[in-house]
Amino acid sequence: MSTYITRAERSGSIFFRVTGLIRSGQLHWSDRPLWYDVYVSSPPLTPPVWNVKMDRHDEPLRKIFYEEDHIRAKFYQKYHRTGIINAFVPGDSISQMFINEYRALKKEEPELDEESLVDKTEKRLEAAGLTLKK
Amino acid sequence: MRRVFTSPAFPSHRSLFLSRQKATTSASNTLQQHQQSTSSIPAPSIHRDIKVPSISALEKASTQSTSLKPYVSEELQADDYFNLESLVNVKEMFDARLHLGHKIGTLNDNMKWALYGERLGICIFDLDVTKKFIVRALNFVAHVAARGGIILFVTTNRESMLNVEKTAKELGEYSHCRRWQEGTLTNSAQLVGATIRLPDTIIFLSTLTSLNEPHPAIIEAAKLTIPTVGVVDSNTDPAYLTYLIPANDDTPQSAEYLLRLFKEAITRGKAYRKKQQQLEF
Repeated sequence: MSTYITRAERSGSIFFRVTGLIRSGQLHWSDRPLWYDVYVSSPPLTPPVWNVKMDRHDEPLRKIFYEEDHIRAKFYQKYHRTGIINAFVPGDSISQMFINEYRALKKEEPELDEESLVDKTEKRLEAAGLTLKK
Repeated sequence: MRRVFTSPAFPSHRSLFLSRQKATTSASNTLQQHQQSTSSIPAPSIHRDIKVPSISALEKASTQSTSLKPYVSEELQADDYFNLESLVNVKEMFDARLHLGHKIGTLNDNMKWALYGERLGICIFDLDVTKKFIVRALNFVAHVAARGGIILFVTTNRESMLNVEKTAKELGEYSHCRRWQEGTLTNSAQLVGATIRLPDTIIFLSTLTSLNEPHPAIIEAAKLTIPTVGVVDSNTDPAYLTYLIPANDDTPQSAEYLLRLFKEAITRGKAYRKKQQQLEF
């Protein structure tokens, strides 16, 4: 095949170049490559060329954040001395306990603002036996 | 196009296609099988042409390939003939760590389309997009296998190298996981010493070399109009690759998962081919 086909790979996609050969009569339809029919029935979803510009290539990438990231950030801003997290001990970390309590509180009293929610969560944790150090 | 097979080429260049290491005997048997199907014995129905498209139909196809669909055989009319979509599910892809990309600083702008976003500096793939692309690639590979195409697996990742070679061997296909000698495809006749049949599809399980440059085989395949299936990570340039699979290509787990899918797709394609050949005789 390589004796017929142009090896200038930037001149077009593989399909374009082979179709061009068939169109010009250089290649008989019955001699088309084995993959040709398969390509026809399920073509690639993106153009297989060298200078392809994909969707969103000039847009900034969005950042993935969850709601709990916000609460956790607030927690670590206020309480610095939370100790070492041991990943081999089962159960929630202190920040996770704080988040769970914060969420439960927010469900109970949705009208509270962030600051008072944090304060109230601290008090509730203290009542449960967990003292947070600033 | 049917390229001529000359069996002595394979044993003398055994290091090139590692998987059929049983060398002379098994290789030449399979080669003979191929030659028979193209010459003395009538070709299976999938190779028989229904009708030849006109020049204007071909002109249209140059911009829109699907317009040639009436001219291709029956099993290609179905969307998912081998029922491959049921093989792929997002949960398994997640467990195989397919969603993990590289650090944001290495991101290739041409890969943003496949990303869901960036989580604390790490690119995360949108697995719904990945699924769509995997199914398309599997469908292509299965149909190529059903037509008796030769499939070459290529990787540069040392951790998944053995698995790739093993899978290729089990399938009776080829693999190339070592250093790519320049001209292995484009100058094969000189390197091997005889004309050989080149692969009909190349599957890249990693498209970057250890120097983070595109694998040299990508350009060579593009030159020789060999379609390529490539796993493209967030730091990869998808240029020239025909069928893309946007996913993590660096962990052995993800390579293993993708190899399992390819293996199943190729097995289904080959089973179909065998059935067709039995019906013919």
